[in-house]
Order: sequence, then C-alpha cells, then structure tokens
Amino acid sequence: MSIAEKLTTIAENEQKVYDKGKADGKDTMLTNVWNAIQDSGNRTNYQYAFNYQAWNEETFRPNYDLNFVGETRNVFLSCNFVGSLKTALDKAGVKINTSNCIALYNCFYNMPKLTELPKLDLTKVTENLANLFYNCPKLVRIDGIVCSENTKFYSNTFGASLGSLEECIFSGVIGNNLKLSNCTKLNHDSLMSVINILKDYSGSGTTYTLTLGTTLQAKLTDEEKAIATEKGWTLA
Amino acid sequence: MKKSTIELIKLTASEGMTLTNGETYGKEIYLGKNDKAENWHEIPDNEVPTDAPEEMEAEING
Repeated sequence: MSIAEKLTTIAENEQKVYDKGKADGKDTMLTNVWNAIQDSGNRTNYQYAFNYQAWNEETFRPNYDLNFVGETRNVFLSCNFVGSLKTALDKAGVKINTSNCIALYNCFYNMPKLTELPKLDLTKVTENLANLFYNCPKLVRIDGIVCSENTKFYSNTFGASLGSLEECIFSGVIGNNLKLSNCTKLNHDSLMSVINILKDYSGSGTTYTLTLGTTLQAKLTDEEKAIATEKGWTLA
Repeated sequence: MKKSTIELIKLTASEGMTLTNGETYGKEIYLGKNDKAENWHEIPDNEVPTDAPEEMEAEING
C-alpha cells in the first residue's frame, strides 16, 4: 500500500476509530462506576442505592448480581429509570436476587418511566412488603413473582397507579391475603396463575381474601371463581 | 356427559356503598367456602380507607 493509499484509509476510518475509542472509554467508566456501586461484588445492602437517580437500559449495567439480603427497602425509590429493568439486567448478564429477603418494601416506589421488571422471588418475605410496587404507571410486565405460603403481602404491595400492568405470572403457593385490584389491566393468564396456586384452606374453617375488584372479577368465569371459593378464599 | 353444579354466594353493595369485613373492601364479594354473609356489612364509599403511604409521600416531597 502506498503512502497515499494509507492516508486515504486513515482518513476514511478516522470517525470509526474515534467512536470506538470513545465507546471503550465509556465502557471502562461504566465498569468502574458499577464496581464502586457494588463494592466489587461484595455489596448486599442496596437500601436507597438507586433512589432519585436517572438510569436507562444502556447505563444500568451492573457487573454482578444484585443480591438483596435481609430487610431491604427503598432501593429504587423515585428512581427515574427509563424502560425495562429486565432488559437492562439481561444485557448485563446479571439478576436481582431477592430470595434471601425477609422484608422488601418501597423498592419499586414511584418509578414513572419503568416499563418492565425481572422475576422476583418473595418466598422468604414474611415481614414487610408494603408499597413494593407503587406509582409505576407505565409498568406493563413483571417477569414473574415466586411466592411461598408464608409470603406476607400487604394491602398496598401492589399499590396505586399500576393501571398499565398486564402480565405478572405468579408461581409457588399463595397463603396470605392478596390485593390486586389496582392492576385493572392484568390479563387472564396472570389471574389464573394466582387462582391456581391459592393454598387450599377448605378444611381449616378459616377464610383468606383475594381482592380483585369488579374489573378483574369480570375477567373470570363462575367456574374459575369457584376454584378460589372452594379453597376457602373470598373474592372481593 | 359430566353434570356439575357451581355454587357461588355473591354479595353486592348498594348504590354508594362498599362492603367490608373490617379488613377488606369491595363492591362485589364472592364468599369463600368458610365465609359467611354476616361477616360483611356496608359502609359509605367515602369511608373506605385509601392505601396512600403518607410517610413515603413526605419523604419524596422532602
């Protein structure tokens, strides 16, 4: 290649080289930021970790799983996250691990631009689930919620302004009162995932309540409602 | 052919009223197998408590 040809090639690729260098620098910066946020993977207390901050699917790029342990609250309180937190985590190849939480309240509180959440394991949350989801008016999908019969829901676990939530498949066992009436767009599959895993209290003489409200009740047939009532659950 | 009977006991609140058992509130109640209509009574709509988390609102608003 002649000098003239080399100069032409350099000139043609100058922007690409600049962009690559800039991207590499951005990646390094993000990696360092996230290492600091996550204490190089050792962090287990994420209380208030992301509150009042602005993130999106590109910048929210943890280097390690987000392990929430014990009593965890306010993690994303009023966080201006734009888009899907699940997509961001999938891109980063990490998960939010809540399987060791005994309390998980106000975590996704007031996130006006959030559209999707990853699967959340609530099997050990027996102490406080107040306002887990509250004022997330664009939240359309939660990738799933895993419960145990001891999972203690609050009347505002699925709080106000969740009117866009269409899909949230529950698995495990539901053994305590649950209120979903704020989620008026919840689809039939999601509702049946709840009905099908309600613990059977029919022989116990006790009553538990699944609060759906008239909009969600109307999405169920009488046969489907009877699955719940026969197991000792009142539908409100 | 399978023939079955589904029994649902439904309580419906009067106009402007809401049904409650003291903990749960609703306009239409389908009683669970162990529940009784006597456990529910009506209250005016404007007496139904909201889930508004006042302490959090204070925190958000600084």
